[in-house]
Amino acid sequence: MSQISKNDISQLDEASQVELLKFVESENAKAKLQSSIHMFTDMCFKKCVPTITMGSVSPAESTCLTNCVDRFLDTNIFVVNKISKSMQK
Amino acid sequence: MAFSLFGGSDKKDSGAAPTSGDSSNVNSIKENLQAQILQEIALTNATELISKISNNCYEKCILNPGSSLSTADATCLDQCSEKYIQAWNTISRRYLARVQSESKN
Repeated sequence: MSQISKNDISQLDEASQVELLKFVESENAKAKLQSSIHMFTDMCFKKCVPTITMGSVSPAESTCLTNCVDRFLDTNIFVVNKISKSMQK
Repeated sequence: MAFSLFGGSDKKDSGAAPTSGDSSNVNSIKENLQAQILQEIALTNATELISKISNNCYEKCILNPGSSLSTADATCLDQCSEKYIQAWNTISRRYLARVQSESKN
């Protein structure tokens, strides 16, 4: 459903094309972050919210969610270090 | 259109070939392209959120599928959706804070 046409892009001067490229790169990076957030929320919602008793997140659940993200990132760093060490041997 | 709820717009390209070098046309082409890109990203985000909420809340709320959604089902889905969005915000804040602090090290 994209209406972006090559003709439009080729009408732009070089400075505008560079600006557009930077814009695309920046939005792409943001989109990757959003994708990660979706993944974490899915995972941590399952871990931290066992049943639905109310329409808001309790303080305990909130702590669980933030811990969940932090520990996942720690896990990721741990695994990266371990694998890179074993690759150096 | 429905996707305007999620930050997009209905703006379409005029379709007329602009004179190259005309700066006001260049700006409007650029702005149009940027708007289209932002719209697609917003739509992707909304689609993902809808998918995740549907899956998670169906699992937690509809334990014995009946012949229609009961009031209890609807209440649960309502609460679950709100909760999920709050969780998304909490995690988003935490993750972005962590990414920023890691990039400073």
